[in-house]
Amino acid sequence: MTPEFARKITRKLTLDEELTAAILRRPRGIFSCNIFSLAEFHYFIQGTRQSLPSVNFSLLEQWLSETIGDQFLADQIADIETQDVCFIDKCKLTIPVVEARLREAYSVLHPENQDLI
Amino acid sequence: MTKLKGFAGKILHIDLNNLTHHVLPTQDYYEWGGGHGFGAKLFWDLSEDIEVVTDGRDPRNVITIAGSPFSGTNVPSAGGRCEVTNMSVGLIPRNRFTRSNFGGHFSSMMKHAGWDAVTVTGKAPYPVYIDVRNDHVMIRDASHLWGKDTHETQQIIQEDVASVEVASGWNGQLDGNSFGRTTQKASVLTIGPAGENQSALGCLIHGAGNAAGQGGNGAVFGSKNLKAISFIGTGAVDIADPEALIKARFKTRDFYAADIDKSAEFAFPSLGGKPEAITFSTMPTGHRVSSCHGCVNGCKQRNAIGYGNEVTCQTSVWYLGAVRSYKFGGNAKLSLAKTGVELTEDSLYAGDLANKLGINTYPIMGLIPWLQKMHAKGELGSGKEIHSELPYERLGTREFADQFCQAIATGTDIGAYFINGIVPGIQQLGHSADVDNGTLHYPYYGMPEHGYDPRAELEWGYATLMTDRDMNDHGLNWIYWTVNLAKLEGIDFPIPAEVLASRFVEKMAPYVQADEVSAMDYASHNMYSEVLARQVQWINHYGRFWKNSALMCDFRWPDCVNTHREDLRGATGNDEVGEHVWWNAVTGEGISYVDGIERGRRIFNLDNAIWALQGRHRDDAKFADYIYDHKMTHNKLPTYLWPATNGAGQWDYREMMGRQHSREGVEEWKSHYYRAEGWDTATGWPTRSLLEGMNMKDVADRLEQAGKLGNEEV
Ligand code: SF4
Repeated sequence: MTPEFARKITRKLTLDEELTAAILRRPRGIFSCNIFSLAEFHYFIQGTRQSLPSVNFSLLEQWLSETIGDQFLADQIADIETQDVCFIDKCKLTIPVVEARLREAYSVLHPENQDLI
Repeated sequence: MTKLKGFAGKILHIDLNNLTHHVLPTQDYYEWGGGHGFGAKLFWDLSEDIEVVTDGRDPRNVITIAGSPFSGTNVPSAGGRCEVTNMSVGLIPRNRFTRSNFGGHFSSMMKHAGWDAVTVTGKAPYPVYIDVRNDHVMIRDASHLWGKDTHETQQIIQEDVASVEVASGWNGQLDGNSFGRTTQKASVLTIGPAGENQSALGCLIHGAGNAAGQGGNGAVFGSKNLKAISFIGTGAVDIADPEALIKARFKTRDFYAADIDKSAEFAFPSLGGKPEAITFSTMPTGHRVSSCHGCVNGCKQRNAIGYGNEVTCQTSVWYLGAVRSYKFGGNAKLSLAKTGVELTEDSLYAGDLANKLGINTYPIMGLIPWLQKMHAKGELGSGKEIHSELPYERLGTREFADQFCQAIATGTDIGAYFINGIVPGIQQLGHSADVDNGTLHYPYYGMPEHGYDPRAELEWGYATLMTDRDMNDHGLNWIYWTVNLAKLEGIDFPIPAEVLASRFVEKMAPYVQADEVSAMDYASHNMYSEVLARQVQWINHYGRFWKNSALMCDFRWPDCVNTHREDLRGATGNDEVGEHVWWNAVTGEGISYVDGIERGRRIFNLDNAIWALQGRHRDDAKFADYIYDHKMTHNKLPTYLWPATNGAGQWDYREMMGRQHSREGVEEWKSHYYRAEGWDTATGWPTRSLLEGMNMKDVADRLEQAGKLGNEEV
């Protein structure tokens, strides 16, 4: 991964490049969630003890490929999407894949800082 | 005056025009049950000009804060709720008599002080607050409180009330000629700067975060120069049959208490569920669950971090998206370092801020991403088309939250556009299209979507159209959180769709027969059916009495299906633990479950008579355009399953996504609904025969006088 590429896939997106997703939280309901970076997506997709992330995997794949510009990651998500597992398991499978990509980018951009690599 | 069991026996009428108070005997209002019933009848009796008041900030508005016989008792999840009714501020196409509700300890303390409700008319010549200590009522100068936030205000009042100390930890209060004692603090309901500035976004706050904001009741307090109402009482509630009450509590435990060893509880918390703070996101370490008076399963929290107490549900998420985007924007390190707690803390900070300033967070949440976009497009900012000096590049920080909330609360900067509500503000700015096309999710009456799209969750949309507000009734919504969570988790949902539908329908007496399972069939071929109109009728009438008047908490009642019991039958309508069992134990009456619903019908019809006088017409009851013009898509949601049949009549949990409402269909459904209620199908107004059949001839006469009486169906 080149520094340029690392910078590209970790950049903060402009407002028309967002990924529109949602959070499910009872009893508040379903509320929209606009994602503006890969790091934000990584946080979002983990959910919390009391909420679930909600995202359309086809749109996610498209966003990673066309907006973030990471075809490798998009292909991995496409693989997850085709797996015969439930939605939450798909989300869980997504976490390490995105995390590995972020770590890789982080190690290229901040080789001096080893604590998170 | 006969003292009725369960009731305190007195309603406090405050006349701010003359700075006087009067006692109204509860006995005159007993048949209206409490809460909303009291509020509607008091509004009817005390409003001088229902027809001409068009805005809740008119001094002639009547605002009532009412408890019920259950307030101050240990009826499960019913002892601490409190109903607020008033003419609204900021709704479209017109304001109307509306309601809101909050929890905590206000209604219970009001009862302990000897009052069932407080109703306020007129406008004070200067800022005042109402200080009630048992029978002793004072309308006091609030100039030292005006401008203070809701937390400070409560603290100042509480310290003043507790200044009469007779022994360490015990406060003495004059009670007629004797001296009562309590360890409790005064319960205070107050506005912050948002209410003082009469913003439609202003709400009432009690405690750290118990809020009533729907309908702009903070602005109503502000318009009356009323800062706060405080009660302290040393009395208790006179229960008709304490033994029956305790027996029902034990029975409830036997039937429904959560089994701590069974962790696989994928149901929406129901009666008997585990107490759990419903604050969104990663909780700060060190918190404990707190609850309203007498609740068996509390849903709020106190935090060791010292703020964000009772910042629950909606208030804990209104700023979350902005915080997340700001913090994680392009910063891989933060995400990898798992800084969720930090993010939650910022959200709680913003929740606290809104509570302190007395801002209703529901409507402002949708505004945040809209402002962000307008700023990015160059249309919002200093000297721009929409002028604002706020630091939008720092949206997501505490600093921005501070400035934004100040602006909203004071009606300055960006807040100036939204002083009359979000949708009116958006319209005024020339961006109505964003509401019409669903960029902003405000599907009905200028109110934000609660979180459940009316194209999928039909009853939520329909009940809202037929009433005054976002219905905020989670009775059937239990289905969303059980069936869909199971699906998302890959669990084979163990209850067949038809069985689940039947269990709900069983509770819908007297409007739906136990074998009319189609009342829960949300298939597109059934979405405009007559039986679905009767289902919504049940929701509205059940709600008006048991929830809005008897004040049983929406998070726990109705308890239609309860997975803690093998036959899945919930407590609702049950002759050992149902609503009427509690009512009868507390009041000594002998009513049935359906009698309560019939009382709800009467209250609801009085509401509709008030709405008719206020100008409401069938044509008002419409969704925003996007609900009709656009399909509900899968673009952010994997599933929205609900019991439904296919063309062959086979039941299953079927997908509600991908559909939209049709205008003709909704109109057809409305006609079914009006017929079911006995309202004029052309106008939606109640008829004379209907009103007289409910002993409301005087209401019919007044409607006739105003030309607002519905025509009888020929
Ligand atoms: S469930 Fe929550 S809101 Fe309802 S009564 Fe209990 S503590 Fe109050």
